[in-house]
Amino acid sequence: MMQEKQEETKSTNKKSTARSQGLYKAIWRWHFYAGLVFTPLLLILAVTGGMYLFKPQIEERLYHDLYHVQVQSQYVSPSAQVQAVKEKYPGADVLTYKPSDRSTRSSEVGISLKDHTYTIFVNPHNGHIIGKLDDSSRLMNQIEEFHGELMAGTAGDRIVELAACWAIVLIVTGAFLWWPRKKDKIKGVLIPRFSKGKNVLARDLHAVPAFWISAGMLFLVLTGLPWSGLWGNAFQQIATNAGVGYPPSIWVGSAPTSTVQTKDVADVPWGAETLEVPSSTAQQYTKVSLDDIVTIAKERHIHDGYTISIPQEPQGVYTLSVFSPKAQDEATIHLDQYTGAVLADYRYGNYGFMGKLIALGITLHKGTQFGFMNQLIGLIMCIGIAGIVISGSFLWWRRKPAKNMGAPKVPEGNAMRIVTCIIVVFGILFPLVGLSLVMVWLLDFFVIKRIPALKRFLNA
Amino acid sequence: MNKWKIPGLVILSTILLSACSVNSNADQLYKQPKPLSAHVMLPETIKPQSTQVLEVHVMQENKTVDDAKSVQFKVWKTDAPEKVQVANAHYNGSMYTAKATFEEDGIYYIKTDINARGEHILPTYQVAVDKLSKEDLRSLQPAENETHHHHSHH
Repeated sequence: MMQEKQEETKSTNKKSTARSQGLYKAIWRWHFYAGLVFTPLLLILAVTGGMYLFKPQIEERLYHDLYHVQVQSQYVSPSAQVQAVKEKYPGADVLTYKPSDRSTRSSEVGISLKDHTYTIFVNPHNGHIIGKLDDSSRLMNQIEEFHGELMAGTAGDRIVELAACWAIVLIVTGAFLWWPRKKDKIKGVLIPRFSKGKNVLARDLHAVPAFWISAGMLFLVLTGLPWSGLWGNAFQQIATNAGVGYPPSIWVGSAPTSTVQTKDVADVPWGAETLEVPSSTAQQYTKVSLDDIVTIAKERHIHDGYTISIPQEPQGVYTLSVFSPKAQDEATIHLDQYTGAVLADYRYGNYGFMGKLIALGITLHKGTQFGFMNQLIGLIMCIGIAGIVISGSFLWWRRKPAKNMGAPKVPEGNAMRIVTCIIVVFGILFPLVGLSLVMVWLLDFFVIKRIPALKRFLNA
Repeated sequence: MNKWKIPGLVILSTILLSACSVNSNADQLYKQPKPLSAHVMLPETIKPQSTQVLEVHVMQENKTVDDAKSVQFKVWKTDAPEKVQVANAHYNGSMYTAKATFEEDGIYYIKTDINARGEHILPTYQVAVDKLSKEDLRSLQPAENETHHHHSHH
């Protein structure tokens, strides 16, 4: 800070110096408080994100015995595999079937049993059940839940979203604070200054690496936001409605429905209707078998690793979906459960441009798009974010006076108002930020302003 | 500042309102499917040891399909899923027809396997041949035609 102050006093125009100093202080103040509040959350996101990146490798290790089977030439039909699961768990509803994608891989049957969902691993060569996993207890699911919603459901989701939005504020205000005031200066901007004392080094160890990873950090935040519950959902709906996002049913919106064929029976005098059987059995059509669905999936060249969601309602559809490592291989296909007719077949190429961007953003965010290199870069980002968060807290701790928080003073003049206006605009774009601002203001107006000790402590 | 308030509010509320849900016809902005539909016509009653004419009217976008690559009727008895009778259907000017033989009484599956214009549908019916035993009635209940214990080789 001293450095910048000295530089700026050299400026000839006194008025503009005061103004830019005011602006600097205003932005610093926002950066300071946002950093202070969201430090723990950003640290959690970095650590859980860093672990989740390696989901494929970790799960391969953890579930090796469930995933792998001995190669045999013989296969058991998908419906027979599902039947084996039904026989073992008679009370269960079968929700999904994921065919084995290579001869050494088990197939997976997703069931729900007493309010829990399980994955049952089946040997596709003989129909034997290898084992089951409680989905909610899977380590990676828990880490994902931590990363996405702090294991606190909707409230957690909103907090993570809030932290992500405020991370943007931190990056932008941080970039402003970092911005070199003097031309042709590299030290303290692009490389840390090691010989200018501990205070300068502490600042540089926060600001310089932060600059280096800021673009990646911003990328992670922006690619993560579309899956957030409030902003992300609204954004996806706007994009889908405008024809530029994901087609409906992939992220938001409903899937097409199967035409319930029983009604046809009434006006057609043949088939089951003429039989003297209870009316509930008089379905003219029956559900297409899972085996035929798998055949259709092959015919439509859906990428390996797809899951079949089995309809649970009369109007439901069979949905084949695959969210492959590479966004370009994604597919979502809805099939009429009574005829197998393709009611929708959406591939990456059918997404609108925004949908393509979001899809690519997701695979890059998750580190799957470019394989191991992608994971590695993601990991470096996570370590970098954790480092910046820690060095930022350290910087604050070093500078913090004993009696107060050490926040920069509210500058005089218009500077604070300009910055506040910009943040308010941001608060409108991201309603959660706006909401948090309103709450801070209420707190400030009703509590902090009225308690002198608190006011002094926060330098308000 | 004030002159922006009203238009700003209008734009904001439009965005928020439009974000409430996905339009029900939003799918029309994306790739449209051209699903086939089939109207299968089965005899009113089927007696055991009889040969029956099976007919199907295939449609796409409300127009009759007359250039199907293949239309087959696959017929099997519920308790003998490995004995499938395959009857190739031919176009007779309005419908695809084929003949199938029903040897015994009981419940049969009739699967109409239609390949046309790059689409593939296979509507499947359950039909009763002659009088149903109580056991047959019970097996009619869950309307799923899964071919259990059916082994295939790769």
